Amino acid sequence: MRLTLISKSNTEYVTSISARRRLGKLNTEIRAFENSKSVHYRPQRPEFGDLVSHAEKLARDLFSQIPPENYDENEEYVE
Amino acid sequence: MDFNTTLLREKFIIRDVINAPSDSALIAMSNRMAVNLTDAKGITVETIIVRAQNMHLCIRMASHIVHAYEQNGSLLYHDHSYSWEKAWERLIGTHEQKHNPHKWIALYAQGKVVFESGIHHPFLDLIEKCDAANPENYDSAVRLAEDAFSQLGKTVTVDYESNIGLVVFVEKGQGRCGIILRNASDKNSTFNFRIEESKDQHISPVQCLNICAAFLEGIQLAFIIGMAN
Repeated sequence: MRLTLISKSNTEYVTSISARRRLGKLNTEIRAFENSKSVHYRPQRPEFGDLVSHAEKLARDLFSQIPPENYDENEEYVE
Repeated sequence: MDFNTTLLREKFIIRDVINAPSDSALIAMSNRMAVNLTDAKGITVETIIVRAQNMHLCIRMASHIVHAYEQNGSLLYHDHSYSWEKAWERLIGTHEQKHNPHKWIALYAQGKVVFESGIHHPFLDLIEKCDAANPENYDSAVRLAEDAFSQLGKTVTVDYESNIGLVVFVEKGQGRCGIILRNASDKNSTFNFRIEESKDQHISPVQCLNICAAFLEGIQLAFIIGMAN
């Protein structure tokens, strides 16, 4: 999405935007709960932002493992 | 109300030993929670089994069942039939409604389906029937299911794999929840949280379950967002 390789009408793009909105609401729900109660986490509270970064890294690692001969000739790659 | 439950992530691999080739196994996957609803003395009044496509929907339905029971008492023995359809529609968010066409849920009581939506594997219905026939020993349900197939003249083997996705204990003014995550490299990681009751705020199983569902859904969404980014 950042490289604009996925068009805005693409299902993956639309799902991802909707997922962001939903994630924001879930974060708000959890924060509201934490503010109203005494909550203790062990080892620590999972931060959704960190998890997004981890997934990005995983995606980068996975794509970097695809050998060039397996690239689809109809796709366009940006160096 | 004291409350404890476990969410199991289950996989059944069903193989026809005689007629089908070895690589044509049927696979039934499900998340399962047994929701025991108790009276003031702690005696189980009714048990509802929740099965669903994903963990957060399973937990939210379990939470809804506990909430409805706390508000109105028994859900199964009311004169009027409980509107499970409305409850299900309410607990699916807009995102899930639009972007998860494969969502399903099935609720069971005493081995019978009391509500279902979406398409689930029929083998799960058989497993619940077998579990109801031999309660308190869920592991034996798989063997009973094999026997049921055998009586129908089909020799099948059922391999059963399960792992725990969530444990929730709410008792003595304290809520304890443990969430077990399986990451992309198939390794498990766990995080726990504990909620303590204060003078003016009681701990409700409903709140604990809802927060667990929020974490699990959030973790899944974070993965989707990160992969798309």
